[in-house]
Amino acid sequence: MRVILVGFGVVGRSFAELVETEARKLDRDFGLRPRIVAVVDHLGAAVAENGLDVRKVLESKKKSGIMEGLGEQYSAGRNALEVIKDVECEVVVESTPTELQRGEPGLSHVRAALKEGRHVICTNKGPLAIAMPALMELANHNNVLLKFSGTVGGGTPVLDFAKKCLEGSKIRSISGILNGTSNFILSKMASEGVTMQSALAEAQKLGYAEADPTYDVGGFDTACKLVITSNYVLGTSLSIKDVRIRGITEVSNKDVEQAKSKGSVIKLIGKVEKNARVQPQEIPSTHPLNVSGTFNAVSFDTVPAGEITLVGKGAGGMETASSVLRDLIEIRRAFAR
Amino acid sequence: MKIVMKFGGASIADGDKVRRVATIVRKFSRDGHKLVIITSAMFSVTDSLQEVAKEASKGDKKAVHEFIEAVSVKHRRAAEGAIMDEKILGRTLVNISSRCDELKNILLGIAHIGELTPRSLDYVVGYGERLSAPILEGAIEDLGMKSKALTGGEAGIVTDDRFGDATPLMSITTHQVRQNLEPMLDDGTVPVISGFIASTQDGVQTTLGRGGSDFSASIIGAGIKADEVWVWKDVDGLMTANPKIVKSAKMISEISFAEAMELAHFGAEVIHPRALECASRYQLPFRIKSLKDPDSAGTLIESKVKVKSGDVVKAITNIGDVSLITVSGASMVGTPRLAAKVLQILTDEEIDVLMISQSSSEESITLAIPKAMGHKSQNALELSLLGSKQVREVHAEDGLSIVAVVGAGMKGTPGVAARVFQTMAKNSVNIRAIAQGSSELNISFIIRKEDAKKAVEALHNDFKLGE
Repeated sequence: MRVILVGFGVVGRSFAELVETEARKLDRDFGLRPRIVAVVDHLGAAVAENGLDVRKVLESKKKSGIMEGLGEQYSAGRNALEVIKDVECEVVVESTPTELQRGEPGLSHVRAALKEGRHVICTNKGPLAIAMPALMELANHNNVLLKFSGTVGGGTPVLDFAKKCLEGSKIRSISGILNGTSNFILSKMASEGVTMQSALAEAQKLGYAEADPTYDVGGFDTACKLVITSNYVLGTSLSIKDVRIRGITEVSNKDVEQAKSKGSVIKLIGKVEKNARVQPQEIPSTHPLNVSGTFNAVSFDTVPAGEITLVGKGAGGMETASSVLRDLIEIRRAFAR
Repeated sequence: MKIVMKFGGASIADGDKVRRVATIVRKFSRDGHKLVIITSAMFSVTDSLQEVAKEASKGDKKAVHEFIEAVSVKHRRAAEGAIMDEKILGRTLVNISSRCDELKNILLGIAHIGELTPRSLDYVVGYGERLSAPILEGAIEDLGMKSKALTGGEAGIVTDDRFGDATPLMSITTHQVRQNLEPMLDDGTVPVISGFIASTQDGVQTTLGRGGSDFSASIIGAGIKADEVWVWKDVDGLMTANPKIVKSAKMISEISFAEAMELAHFGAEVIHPRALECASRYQLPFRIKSLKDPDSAGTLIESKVKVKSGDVVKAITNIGDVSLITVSGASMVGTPRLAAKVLQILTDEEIDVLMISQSSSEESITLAIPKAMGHKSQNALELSLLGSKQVREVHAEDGLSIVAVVGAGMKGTPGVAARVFQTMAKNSVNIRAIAQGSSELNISFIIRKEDAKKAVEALHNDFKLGE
């Protein structure tokens, strides 16, 4: 199966590595031989119709930051839309950075790929947060799959758990702790009494938070994940503009202490019931959603099975790459014949 | 308010009328509304495009040249009548002549090859709207506003590739329409969109089939989340009965989508049901406005069913001339596939069935068919069914008329049917067949054509619709 990687950041590189290390197992168990025929980042593209030497691409990217050193296979300045159109493949993996105004450039990449009849695995939340119903419709119209397991819960299979394992149950609401950075900060504030600033600084030092933390602590990442989960599991047609969003920036140490004295904790919770909203909320410390550190937890309130909670590590390159691989296996299965 | 306004072919039939449309646009724009305009082709242009395309496909190049000459004169004159400013007019005329040249080349291409595919036919018939939109754009700019003409595809309407009767991909369409039109609305530009046409995801032009431009208005309305869709007509609005039959017929001020669709199906051909269906799905209030009286509120069609007490019936309509086909035979009882077979035969012949009635004894099925199709239907049914032992007779009768009594208030109100039929009895009108769906929105029945006027008037009076 021929794959184009669009975006070669942490997720893209981890996926390339995973394909290498798991090659034998994939072949043996699933008859799956992924060949990466093109890798595109914002500087240019490496293309080899019969498969790139993934080791070499990874080394070259690591050494020089760009993928030169691949000789003729590399063309500087060649952009993703060209590659998606011109290079034959079955699957496009889109993992460029998330952008929430127009969902670009990811949205154009996904649309171009669907139009060309390629299956798409998207780990970029932007296109889905902006235009998920439109993209699902386009995939359906072109008879290809659009998968995005990696967008919610990292390696924890939140989406397919709800969609497949809860089939037949009525889901009344979904609520979750969906952003590891915010949860790390709130957990630190509660357990060690440190200020938000110092907790944030530590998160940045450990690599959990970006230099500009707005996307995480402002609640936008949580909102994206909520939109994707709700649309996929409940069949809604939400976009991020429909979500009321309040991040954790206004949570004070006093709030945290007060909650503690009542046997509660403050968590950044995304919840969809009638409406979708993201806000800091007090929950009892015995509540199943009360996970600490960078963990994620999602709770489905179902009838008749009651409340079911899924907990797992939320982010990380390898974790997300593993869900890309899951999607790839599923595409292989669906189109095996 | 955000309003999508649709103007049909008759309302832009010449330069003066285009100017009147532009004046209406200016009026509502000055009132502070954000407007998107949907335009049809100029009156009769779409039909003549269909014809010339057929002639071209037979190799008739002379017909192509004559047609191009006529169509280009027609549009040039309209532009000259509608636009005063020299500069705007000059630009519009250049636009018209380049589009006419394109069209000529395409038609000559069809004449050379001698083949007309559904795809090329769609491309040709869409030229009516592609030619009218720039004229309206010019006329609006002439009155001092900013405007921009767009094709349906440029506005963002994406469809599947069933040429001639394409279906929009609504999610991607609404997403694109919003992205394309909202910046224009924010900077005060009035988009003028060619109705009826759209494009596939690869940019190939498609058409939306029957009811096209009204449907475009609903689609664009859904995209920009319009507060209302206004369809401008030469009539006042939806009426309680055909004013040509009933003098005291009144305009209906409010009606639900379900009721309006019943009326649309039964001859009150004001808006195509497909447009209403789409508006209803996106909960877009739909208004029929009168070109003669732009200040009048017209008829508002919306999702909510409002039923005033005692107000059980909204309108009486009738389809003038129908044939009644009766398929009967003793051994039809308990032969489940026969009804399906009868309908399939008629569908294969592309015959529209207006009404069906079957007695529970299953001894016969009665179908109402437009008169023009009556004998064709009888013949088709005879050929397929006679001799099958199930069917003994296919009987056809002409000179009949359907009367439909429509209103959401009939639901759950006992005695409406009794009142309808008592009124008929009092006026000695004989009823031949009856149908009422379980939605109870509509009671339809068939009578002799000579009795139709009397029946409609009597019902209109009895339900006090003129008061």
